[in-house]
Amino acid sequence: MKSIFKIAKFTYRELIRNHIAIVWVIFAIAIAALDYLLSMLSYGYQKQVFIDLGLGGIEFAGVLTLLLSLAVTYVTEFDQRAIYLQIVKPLTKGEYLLGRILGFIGINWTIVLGMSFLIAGILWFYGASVNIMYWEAVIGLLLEMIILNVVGLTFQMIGTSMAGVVLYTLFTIILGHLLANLKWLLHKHISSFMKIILNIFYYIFPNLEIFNIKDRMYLPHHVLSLVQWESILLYTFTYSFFAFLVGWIAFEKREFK
Amino acid sequence: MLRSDVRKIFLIVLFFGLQGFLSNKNLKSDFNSNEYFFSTVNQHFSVKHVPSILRAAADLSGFRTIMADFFWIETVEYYGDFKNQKLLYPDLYQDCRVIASLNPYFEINYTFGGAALAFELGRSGQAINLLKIGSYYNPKDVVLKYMMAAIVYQHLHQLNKVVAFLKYDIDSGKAPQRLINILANTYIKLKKYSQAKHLWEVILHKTHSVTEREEAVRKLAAIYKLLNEKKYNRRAGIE
Repeated sequence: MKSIFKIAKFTYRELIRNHIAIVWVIFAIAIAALDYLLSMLSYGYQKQVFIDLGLGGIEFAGVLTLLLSLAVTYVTEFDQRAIYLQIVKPLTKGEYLLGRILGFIGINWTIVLGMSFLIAGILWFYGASVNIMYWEAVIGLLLEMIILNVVGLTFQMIGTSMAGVVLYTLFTIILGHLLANLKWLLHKHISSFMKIILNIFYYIFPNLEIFNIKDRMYLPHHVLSLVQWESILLYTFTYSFFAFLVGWIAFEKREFK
Repeated sequence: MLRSDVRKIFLIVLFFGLQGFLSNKNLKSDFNSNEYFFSTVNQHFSVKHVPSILRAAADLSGFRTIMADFFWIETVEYYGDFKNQKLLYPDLYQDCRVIASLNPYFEINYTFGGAALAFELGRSGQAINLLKIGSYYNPKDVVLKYMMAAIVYQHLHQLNKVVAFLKYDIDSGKAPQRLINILANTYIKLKKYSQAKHLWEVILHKTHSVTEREEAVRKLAAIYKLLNEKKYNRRAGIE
């Protein structure tokens, strides 16, 4: 367990050293400024528009950080073969992968939480309060980041090029948001063969709409109690666990020459 | 190798055990509300009024609300453009429908669009259609229903009843700023000049828009003129 946290700490520091946090700071300021300017144009609905755009910016920043981190670490670990130093240490490949996942989640959560506090701080500065739904949407984003980080690192273990890893992850994010419409399509009159294919897609890709609370914040009967959170957490950890197992197996089978 | 395999099997068993425990607990506690939550995850809105490229972008990115916000800003800009005013805002209804398709819970879209279409452009049918969509998705929102009632009474030329409904909407705090102007104009039509004067004064002090301020000054000048005429007529014994 200690070695897993050591790897996580090392990954976190490595990503900080790669100036990913600086990219985030610039991005956070740009998003907050753009968000503020656009909300000014929204004719009496500044607060809602500011929160909506802020949450979108947080998700965008999280995804961008993940893709950047994946690209940066792929180059150092696999292209420059820094991974050799890690795999000769007395720890299993599973422990190493888990440590890296925790490190990635650490940097991602720092950025997501940092930006969400920034948005809440700006609102507080202008005398507007942040409702509970905002924080629920932020928790949704944090959980989404867990799945995306695990999937991203799994692709890193499977992929053979940096561009491939980034593209696989990006397409998973896009298809993950499309799954809600896939379910709608499954209820239509389409051939059973197509239904089987669509069902495979539905269960293979992560349903990111579950975490997309920011788009359902204004639903009049929106309920998010302990029961829903249990299900969301269960889905997050189930999916992450399977993705982790796939990544672990791929890492075990990977040949280092 | 054997040790790592045992560890993997242990983790899988642990995982399924945990999953079974949690699912069972969920079923026992409150499955109905959970079912509702997950039905909202897979909900599919009407696609009739959203261009397909835009629709695809909204679905693929998971930024449906943000796209609705961008369209809202664009619609407000469209409404503020003098060039479009000359053409009587031909795209206003369509733009409001696009926003409603992207985010059907965006209430100000219905109140703003409904007020502009019915009271300023005389397109009551379109306004009622828009408010019907709003009421369907926001059944608890009384403001939308009251606005519909105000539009119907306006159509029937029963302006006293229009005033009552508009006042309720304004007092709720959910109505757009424009509705105060509409209420002030309705007071003028009803020859209730002192109430109209009070509202235009409030608008003049509160608004940040230059156009609205100019409109308020113009309206106040007209009201003062009418009030003076009224005073003169009263003195002269003319009713």
